[in-house]
Amino acid sequence: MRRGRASLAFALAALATGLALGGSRAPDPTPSPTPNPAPKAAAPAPAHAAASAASELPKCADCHTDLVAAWAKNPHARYSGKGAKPGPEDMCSTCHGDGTKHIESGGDTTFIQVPRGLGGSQDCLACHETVKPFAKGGTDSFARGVQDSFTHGVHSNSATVNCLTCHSIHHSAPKSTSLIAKAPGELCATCHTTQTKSFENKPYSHRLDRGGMTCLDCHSPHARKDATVKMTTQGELPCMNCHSEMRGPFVFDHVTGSGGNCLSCHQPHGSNNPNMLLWARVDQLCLSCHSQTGGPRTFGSQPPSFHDLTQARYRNCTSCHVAVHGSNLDPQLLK
Amino acid sequence: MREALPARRASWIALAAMAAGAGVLGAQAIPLDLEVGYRFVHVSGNEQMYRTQINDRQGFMLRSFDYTSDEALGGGLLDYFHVDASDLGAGPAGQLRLQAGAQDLYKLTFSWRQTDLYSALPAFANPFIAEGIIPGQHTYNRERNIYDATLELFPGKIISPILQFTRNTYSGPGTTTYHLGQNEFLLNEQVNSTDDLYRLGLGFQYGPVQGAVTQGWRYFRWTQRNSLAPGAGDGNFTAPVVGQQVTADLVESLQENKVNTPVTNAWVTGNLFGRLKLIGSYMKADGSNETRYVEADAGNFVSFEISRIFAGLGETVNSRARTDYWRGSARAEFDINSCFQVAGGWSENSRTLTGQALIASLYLNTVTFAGVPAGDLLRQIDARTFVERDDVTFDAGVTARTLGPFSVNAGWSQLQQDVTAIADASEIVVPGGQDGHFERTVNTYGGGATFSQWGLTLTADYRHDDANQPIFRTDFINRDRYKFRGLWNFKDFLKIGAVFSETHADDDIVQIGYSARVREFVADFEVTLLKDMLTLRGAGGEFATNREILIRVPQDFEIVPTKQKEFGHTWEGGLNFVWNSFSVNAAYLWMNNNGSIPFTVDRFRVLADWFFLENLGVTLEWLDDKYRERPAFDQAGPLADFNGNRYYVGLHWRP
Repeated sequence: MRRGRASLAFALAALATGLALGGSRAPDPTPSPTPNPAPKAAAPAPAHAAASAASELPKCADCHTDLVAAWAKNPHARYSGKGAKPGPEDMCSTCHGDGTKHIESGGDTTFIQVPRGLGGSQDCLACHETVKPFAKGGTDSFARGVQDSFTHGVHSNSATVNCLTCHSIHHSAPKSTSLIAKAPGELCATCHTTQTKSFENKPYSHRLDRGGMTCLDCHSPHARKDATVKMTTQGELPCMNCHSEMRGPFVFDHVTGSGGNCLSCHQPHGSNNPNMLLWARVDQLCLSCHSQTGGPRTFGSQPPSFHDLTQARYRNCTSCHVAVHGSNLDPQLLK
Repeated sequence: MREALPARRASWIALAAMAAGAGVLGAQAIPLDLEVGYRFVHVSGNEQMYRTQINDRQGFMLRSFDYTSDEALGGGLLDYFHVDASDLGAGPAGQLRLQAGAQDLYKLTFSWRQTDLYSALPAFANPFIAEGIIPGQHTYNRERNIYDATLELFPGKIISPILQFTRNTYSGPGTTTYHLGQNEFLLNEQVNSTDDLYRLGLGFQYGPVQGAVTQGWRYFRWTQRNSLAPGAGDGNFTAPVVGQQVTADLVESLQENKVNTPVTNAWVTGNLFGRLKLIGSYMKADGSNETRYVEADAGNFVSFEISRIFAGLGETVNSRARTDYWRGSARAEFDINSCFQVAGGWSENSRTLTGQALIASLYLNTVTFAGVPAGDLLRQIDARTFVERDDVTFDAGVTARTLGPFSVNAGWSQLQQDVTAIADASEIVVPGGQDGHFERTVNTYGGGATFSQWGLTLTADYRHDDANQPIFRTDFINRDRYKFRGLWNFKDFLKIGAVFSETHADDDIVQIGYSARVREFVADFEVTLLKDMLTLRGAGGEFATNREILIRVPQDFEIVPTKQKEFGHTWEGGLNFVWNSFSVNAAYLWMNNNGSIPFTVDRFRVLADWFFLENLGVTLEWLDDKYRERPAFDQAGPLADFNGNRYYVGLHWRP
């Protein structure tokens, strides 16, 4: 309990510190009357930089007030490569092209580039595929480096699914740290309806989108095909990130590590069965492997004959064999 | 079981939330979103089942908090700062995240996730469910906290040092059972564990080559104390064994477990000619486990292993296990042109486990079944186990990204599994199947196509797996997976979608008779009747699972089929209404299952948000979950039913 309070206090202290730091310099809510400084060496160089340097000329913010005001919170506003940080207006042209004609024509949309679909995604990849630290393969994650690819990923770079299918540069979901258009569960539900409905409907499931857990804890949307499950730093299924006590190694191993894994018995996307098991009854689950009925030799012992399944005690295998995830104490997994 | 913890935590969170709010009052321009409130809970029926499935608790909550620095904070040591939190307080799960950094200098992330874990199932591990005794004897009421802090220095430079610390704590009480002396006894259990991971490494990028090398050290500590639950000395079964009433006066045990695991990760990618990408990775984790265990029991027990009656047991276990695990991969990806891509790779996982346990059991005051006193008896087992597992995968695929409105992909992969297990004699009760050498090769062929035009997206995927033999009895020989998906967006007015998927696996082996068919279908729509004002949505679906396999019944060796069935429907409807500063979101969801556990679920949700001042609003929420189970063999039936209502009222502040 004491440790829990200390942990909580630590987290809140971090929160309060952040607020204090942030609050120490409250930004002016009114637009700055001073012109934005021209970037010294912004990369990629904004074509509109020269125009915005002259404050007497019309600016993007004159019409797109909300978008430009909100830009300061956008992660793209944080960094522009080497050199001085340009103002938000200077960055508009990076994705939207030179807006001079658009402004001169009074807002004719045919004179402004709006990244959409696969073509628009190519603009994203101009930085995110090659320029560190934006590129996948950022140093902070082994899984990102090996499993993810913006160009060969399962969701990447096709006419149907591309960057802008899931990300919204100007209208991302609240609290999104990566500009995704909706909250993760809601976003994934757009296509992966069966999985998300299973989470919502079935009585035994992880608390998806309630209290922090999202699809993204276990899955990488940028991963290559057949590698969408985020492995742990130890190369295990992501279950072990939370359920680390199941990791072992155990002297008397069971299933995980010796031919199977967590998914041999459990359904992580929600289940109609207690403990998210594949079977409603434990004895049926256990006996599906622990039977010798002939055919090719398989891995799994036959229970001895005193296990009389007509008695309830023997149908509840785990009443005695409590250590079904592995044991260091008992060869029969009794403790 | 702890009951006070959520309330105490809620108080802390509420105070902190108020403090955070007060702290920023003076900074009017700070982009802040804060919602705090109180949740009332009313449950009728099986409250333990409610807590197992839902576990929303009564109390104060920091429902939502979001703060982002409004602009670069002036360079120097802090360019950007973001913190958000949700659902902290009453529980059962919440989180806090923080991101901060300075351009070219560092990137810091911190997260804390807290989860209350509760389980008291009526029918699970419960041999007395037919007598109406609930819950089962395996229960827990625990808390997990996961903290992660990662610091990357000089992001974007040629060399970027990385430091990471992750802590995962899991602790709390529970109940379990222990098979001792031909009876099962209910035990109280207290678990405390900490899993710490320290990582240190370097990321690098030079020209077209980038990668990272990190070294991690994981320290896992587990302490578990078990003791006989009050009143549980008669055990679960009162029938005499060899004329003896098996009872316990004392059962006490302590297990201390330490696992140390150094983990090395390395990966590198190189991009040649802008078209060819090569990726290589390597991971090595060598875990060593040491366990010490002491147990003291007193009572009247029977053992068929030593053919004695005994009055007590003193047991010590000293065990060690070691796993050597490495994983490597190499991959090449080639962009033929802007449309066509080919890729192929190899990966291998190799794990060796060696285990040894020295089990010393001192049976006290033993008596032979003939009634002859035989004194104390010491039995020692030096068990040694070995498992070696190797999984090798090769894969190749081709993708055409844009053939007009079509995208097409096709691929092949082969998995080669190799498992060798050597069981200790103490593990083997019925010879056969517990160890040996097993090999299995699985070839997978698959392809998919997508059509996207006029707001319509159609997707079809098919995969076929073909294995030569099973390792486990539930391993398939043939498996087919289909998935069809359609989405249609009509002018931001109507969205219609449908997904159908089916997996059919079997083994074609008459002696095993394994077959599993899982089918799911969901269709949904969303119609915007009044733009930015009124949206209606609905969904319906069907699911079906049929698993079947032959088993050998232990008591008479008869071979019979055993089946798991799930079949049900879901229906859902909802609306979203926004008018000025008022919004309401309501939904009703119904689901039934007519399978092995027949049940019905009704869920009703309504959330209303009204900003009565420019920056201040009130949030009201009502959640109602009804769970109804129908009688079925070895299931709880109506004993599991509950109706859980939660009412939340909160203040929402957006300065």
